[in-house]
Amino acid sequence: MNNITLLLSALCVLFGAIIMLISAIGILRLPDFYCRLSAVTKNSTLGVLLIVVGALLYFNNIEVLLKGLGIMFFIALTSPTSAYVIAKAAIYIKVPFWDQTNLSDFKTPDTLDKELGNQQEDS
Amino acid sequence: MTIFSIILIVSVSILGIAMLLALYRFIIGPSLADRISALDLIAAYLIGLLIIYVMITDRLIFFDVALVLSLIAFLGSISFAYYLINRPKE
Repeated sequence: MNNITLLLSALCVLFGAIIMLISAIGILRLPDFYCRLSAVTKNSTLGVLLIVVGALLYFNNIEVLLKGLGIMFFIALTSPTSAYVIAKAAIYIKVPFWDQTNLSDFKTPDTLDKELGNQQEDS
Repeated sequence: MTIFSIILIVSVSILGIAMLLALYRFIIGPSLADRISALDLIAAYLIGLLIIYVMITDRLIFFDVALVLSLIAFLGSISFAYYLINRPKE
């Protein structure tokens, strides 16, 4: 086994593990469900991809290469999709936002009409 | 014991600590959606742990387990989101 390949593989696995630890700190410390979801999905996807790349560099084998490419394809395809679906479901059942979140892009025409009506009643 | 195996064991312990932190969020999570996202994160940690386990012990059959687990985690997340929307009124 070449030494440089071994070093690259060890670095990839170690960085993947550290990025997953960062995602765990993110899910523990961030104030809001949506912030926590964003921390979880991006960091865990990148961490799994780095660990799989480290395994591919270590084994140097065509069978492992195909299975590892399958794992990378499914993780990169399904993890952001499931996060998107969970976020849409959470907006649908009205999980509360953080009080400092800028919600001006979420105004549908119904709520906009309601706010305009309230302002006209106030004035 | 080479430096490479020491780095692998350090990575396994880092992933174990991260899994404990995610389990704490899974227990105290204020809403049900928090618990679902923590479960998704724990599934990703399990895939990483399986791949490092393959690198430690050279049992190549566990790559198939990681491949299947990545699909099962996606199906679990989708069905939990479906349950969030269509939850029966109490």
